[in-house]
Amino acid sequence: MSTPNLEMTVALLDTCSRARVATRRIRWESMALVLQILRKSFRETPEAPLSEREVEIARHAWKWASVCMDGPVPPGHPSTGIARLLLLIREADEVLGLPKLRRLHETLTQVASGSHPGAEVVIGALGRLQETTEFLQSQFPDVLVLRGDGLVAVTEWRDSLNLPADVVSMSFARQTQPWPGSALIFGPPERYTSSNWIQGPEAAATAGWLLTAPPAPTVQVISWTGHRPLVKDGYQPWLGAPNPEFQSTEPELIIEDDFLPESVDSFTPVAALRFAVEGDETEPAFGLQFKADGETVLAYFSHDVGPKPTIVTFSEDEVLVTPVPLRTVRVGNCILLRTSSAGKDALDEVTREWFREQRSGSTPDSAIGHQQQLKNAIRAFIAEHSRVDLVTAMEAEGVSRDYSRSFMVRALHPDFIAPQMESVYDRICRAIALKPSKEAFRQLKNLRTGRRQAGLLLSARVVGRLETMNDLPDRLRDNGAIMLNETGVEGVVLLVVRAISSDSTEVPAWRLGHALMSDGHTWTP
Amino acid sequence: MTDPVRASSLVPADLAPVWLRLLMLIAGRLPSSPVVEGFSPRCVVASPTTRHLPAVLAASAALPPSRNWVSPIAAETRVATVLSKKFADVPVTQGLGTRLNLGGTQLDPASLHMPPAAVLPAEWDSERGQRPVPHEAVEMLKSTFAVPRGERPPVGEWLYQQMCLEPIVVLTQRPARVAQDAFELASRSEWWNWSQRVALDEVCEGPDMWFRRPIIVLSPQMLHSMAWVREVPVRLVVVVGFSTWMSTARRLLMDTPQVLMLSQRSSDVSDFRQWFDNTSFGEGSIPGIRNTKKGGLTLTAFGEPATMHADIEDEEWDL
Repeated sequence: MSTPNLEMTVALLDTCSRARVATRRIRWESMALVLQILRKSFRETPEAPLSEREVEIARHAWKWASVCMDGPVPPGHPSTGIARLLLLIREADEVLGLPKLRRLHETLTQVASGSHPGAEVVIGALGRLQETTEFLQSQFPDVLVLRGDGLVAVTEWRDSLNLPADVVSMSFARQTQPWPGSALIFGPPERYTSSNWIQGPEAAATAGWLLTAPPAPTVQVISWTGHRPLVKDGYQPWLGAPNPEFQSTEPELIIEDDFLPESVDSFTPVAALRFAVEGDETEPAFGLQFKADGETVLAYFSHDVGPKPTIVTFSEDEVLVTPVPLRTVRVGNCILLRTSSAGKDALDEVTREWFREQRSGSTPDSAIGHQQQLKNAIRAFIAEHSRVDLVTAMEAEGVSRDYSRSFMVRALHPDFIAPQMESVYDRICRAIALKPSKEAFRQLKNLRTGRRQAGLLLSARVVGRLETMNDLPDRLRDNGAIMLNETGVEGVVLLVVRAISSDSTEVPAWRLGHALMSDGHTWTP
Repeated sequence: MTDPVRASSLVPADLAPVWLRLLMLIAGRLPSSPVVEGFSPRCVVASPTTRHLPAVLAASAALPPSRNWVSPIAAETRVATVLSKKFADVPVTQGLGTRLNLGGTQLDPASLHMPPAAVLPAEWDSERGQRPVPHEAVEMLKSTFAVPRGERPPVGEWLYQQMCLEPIVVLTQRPARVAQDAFELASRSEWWNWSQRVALDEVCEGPDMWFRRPIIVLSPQMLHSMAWVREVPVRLVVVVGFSTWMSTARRLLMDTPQVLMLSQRSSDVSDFRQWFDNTSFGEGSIPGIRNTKKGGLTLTAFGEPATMHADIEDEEWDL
């Protein structure tokens, strides 16, 4: 007997083992004209600035063209935004009276009134496929995989012709049982994942699965004027891994000016914040910068102290939330932050629940008392002697120098409980003249276990919620920020890293890992 | 303790698919794979999913038991072993004469074959009660080990205990899923040899079953809580996902052979590629798997500098 999950794994492996890729590129003359006008007459340069109306028109026009790249989208379909675009041009023409506006309007009208050249190719491809593949009742044999912008228009088009193929977004295809026939991909894979923060080789590697671990054993990459060509060695999981077998049916007709620009927005990193020094408990930290609702958001992390950045990754059918060392974080990573005290309160509450259930109805209060006692004893030692003396005293008790040096700042962080090893705990207690106690260490160990279990439970709760949001990767790709407000995950925010500061700044330890605005105040979305 | 001959002596089941055979190849050879001194053996398995495959690899790496073993049980130690057909953690003291006292049971090493056991490390902090040995696994082992004429039949629980003394760690953010996957895989009996079937039986999450199961499934947070983990033998670490690979927990077991299970459909493939393509590694040498694609799996082997790890500090923030 086999189970649905296992069947899916077997189907995915089988599909992957039989993967082959065919490519076909077609010319779309009227679209080429539109792109040419946009490039030559609507590109702002210092010498030739554009008016606000022209900038607005260019933005809408590129967006419209981008939707037309997402599959056989009827270029005049309402969902492409063509009506709004033509209206903007007409209004601008009345005011500005520029010939280029009339030329653009004319060309766009011509494109919008015609059909999409990709439509004919898709119909032809599906017709051929139907002769060779089995038809399953529960699922069409073939699938059109879209980035998402053209989903509504292509689905309507498919329905109007009663074509036997599914139309899905890439995110959906990633989570679904593979199709037995063919997957039609439009343009190079990187088009599906490129965003304002991930482009080029990184986008290609992220979307490479469309060719190397594909949604169907046969992949047909259909591209046209506006699409970039496939890149060599960009889609395997690592350089040197075998490439998929490519089969090209026609010579590539590529003209450099044909491509849509890779979108880049105007994110400008802000300068590192300067924090008021509160005592000496600061730590050199690096700022991760994000953008949410047009606002720059920062979070500082240290290599040694405080919370680690928590990365969110999306796999075939699961969301993973993993704390990782700061040095591994890159621009384009999605980070999970908690923006209110709700996270801390929830942690305390679940820790108490854990003590009640797992430690015979006890509370963590006594253990928290020992935690504070250790911190107070360290503070008292430093006040009476010095930090250097603390390191010396720990070394004299047999604690390694590296550990001793880093211990003080870590130990004073609010989240630090106690050393994990009893032998180290005993030595530190002796160094700071605190009487070591087996019972205290046992309670501290319980507190750590309880906190860890509570943390895992809360993470599982967040992950459970995120996994119900099937369009999450697409929303992050398009917006770069998602805020959750549901019970249990309130105050949780997912943010895409837009910049990482190269220089460290001194940050109070208690502010590490918190979401801040560019004026240093706590960010509350 | 590692005995590559024991591990590679088992052949795949007749109906084992190609991808399973490849994972068996890695599981059998990576632990003994020769690498340049100072490098630890590593392997990457890229696939369209990371469901089920980590459990398959782990089950394939389990060391099958032997009729002959050397028991480390000695006076003034504390051991994890099997007594009265149950798992038990017991102190060992000198008994009467040449006998040893195992938590109240007197055994004479001179006249008896001592049960397989592991000496518990100094920092061992778990107070575990006695627990039964998985019944089905024991029955399978007893039926597999035929009884030579004139000999007493082997104790099934002792055979099983042997398989648990050098466990395979699966490191993942979703331990429950790996346990569930193992359960599902066990239903495809035609795919497995007897050792794999035993290993897939009752896979558990968390460190509580250390020395009591061949496969231990842990999250990075769990691994960090095991102060004694560097003092115990681990046969292989199977790491699920690149973000887990980059967590500090993996570095606790840097000297152990490790396999990264990478989903090609995951959003962190480009992060992996950035790390892998831009880092200088030693060459791994498992014949036939360098930059290979077969059965839906893409594989390669390499050597990672074992010196890349520093001392791991107490981790308090991985909540």
